Amino acid sequence: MTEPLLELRGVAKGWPSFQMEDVGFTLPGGRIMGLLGTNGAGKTTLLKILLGLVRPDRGTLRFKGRDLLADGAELRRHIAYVSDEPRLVPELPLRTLKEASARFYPDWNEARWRELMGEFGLDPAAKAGHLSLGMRTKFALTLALARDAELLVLDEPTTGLDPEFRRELMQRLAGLIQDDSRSILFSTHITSDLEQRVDLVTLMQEGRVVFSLEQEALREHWVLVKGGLDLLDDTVRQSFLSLRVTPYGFEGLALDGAAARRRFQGDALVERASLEDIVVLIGRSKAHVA
Amino acid sequence: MLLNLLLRDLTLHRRVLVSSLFIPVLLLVALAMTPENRNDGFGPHLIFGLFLFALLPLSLHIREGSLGTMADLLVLPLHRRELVRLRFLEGTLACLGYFVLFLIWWVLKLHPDRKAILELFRVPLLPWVLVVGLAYPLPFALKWGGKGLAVAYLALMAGFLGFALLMVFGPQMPALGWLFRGLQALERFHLGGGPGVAQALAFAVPLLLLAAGYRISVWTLQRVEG
Repeated sequence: MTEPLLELRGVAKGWPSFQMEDVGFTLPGGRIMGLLGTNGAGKTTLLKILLGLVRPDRGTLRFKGRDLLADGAELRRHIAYVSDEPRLVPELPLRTLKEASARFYPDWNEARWRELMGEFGLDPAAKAGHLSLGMRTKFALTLALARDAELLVLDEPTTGLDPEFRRELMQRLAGLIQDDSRSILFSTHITSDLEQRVDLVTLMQEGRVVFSLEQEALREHWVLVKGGLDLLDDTVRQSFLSLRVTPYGFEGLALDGAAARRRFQGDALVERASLEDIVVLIGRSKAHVA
Repeated sequence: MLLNLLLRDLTLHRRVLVSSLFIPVLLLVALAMTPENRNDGFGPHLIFGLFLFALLPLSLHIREGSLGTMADLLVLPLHRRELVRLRFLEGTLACLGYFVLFLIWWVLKLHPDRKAILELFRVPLLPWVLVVGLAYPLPFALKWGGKGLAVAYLALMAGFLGFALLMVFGPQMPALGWLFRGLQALERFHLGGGPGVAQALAFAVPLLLLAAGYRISVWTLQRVEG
């Protein structure tokens, strides 16, 4: 069995206002993982722990089989990061900001950076202070993508980007994963970004991982059942991972689509659960999937 | 890696660094205009300039915080102790640069006595300036930024005030007799060892304080969360 590129076990961090408990998942090489969760779920904190910006109270983090907490300085050479709100020195042109960053990375590819700047419509002579959030994010992406980093950590990179560029970015990210040597960990609360291109989905809520699963498995098995209140007895209630009841009917999230179809057979509508359905319904129920 | 960090600071903080060059220009012009102090190498032109240059690395670090680029600095593939080394290196280089510039300007413009020039090298001025301007406030600035720096100097001033009050009123307080006996013993040890020991101690104490400041700064920065 090949070693996962990134492996987290029992990661915990506590502040008076927020607790992260027992967070763990595995990201194999050659995969894109979407880290989903509502605001305040702990996504950014988790990414900061990965990058050495925040020290966890407990837990193990392994990258390429090595301890990321002990060898972080060396391992961060192989990790590229784009923050949720890139901050740049305002009076400097992008070319100068690139120079300040590029010299730390032996795998820096200047030709690729120039190419990306052209493709993203950025002028290397433009002053950073004149850029919008979307443009700053694009620039931060050029810095991350111009390297051959084995792990790309993107914290809500689509915030502030127009829908066309968001789609283009997702295509580009998928194109980067051509062999098992690179992976992408991508946090967002925009579920539509993840529907098409992401291999694995990890959902966080209130500082915990609710599930970390292949998107294919979610697509195949997780269903949303919509029906009238007359169907809702105790057995039916218990068959759902999460349930929303309104005066007119119910919406339930079931983990076994085939069983749900057999049970309701035309009495209720059984359809594939979208990521958004899953996030909304699990958010309500505070459910946990082992 | 230290060189890369230094180049990064020179690139990103060019404006601050260029602005800081006005300090020596103004101070050295002021020095040239006060020929009556030609043998006073320890005048404000030297000490004030050195102190400001010792503070320069702290201002760069605080600027990273205010610009919001601190996370970019901390995710670079390097140990945090290298960032502390960078700050010490920057402070030392800046102070040394100003010291050499001052010396050249002083000698060329005011022609001081040879004895006055030699006196500058007999006193551990540079280490003490680096202790007070860099090693002492750096952990505060690393942890709390500009507010930390302000708190560090307020605490230092309060400490000096407390010490001054102690020197004035302390001898009348029997409870503090042990403190004064200790200070007197220290003074006897310092003077009793002869000029060689006194000179060695005069340099060793600030150097030890610099080393302690470095260790505390590394410990502090390793616990800073971005």
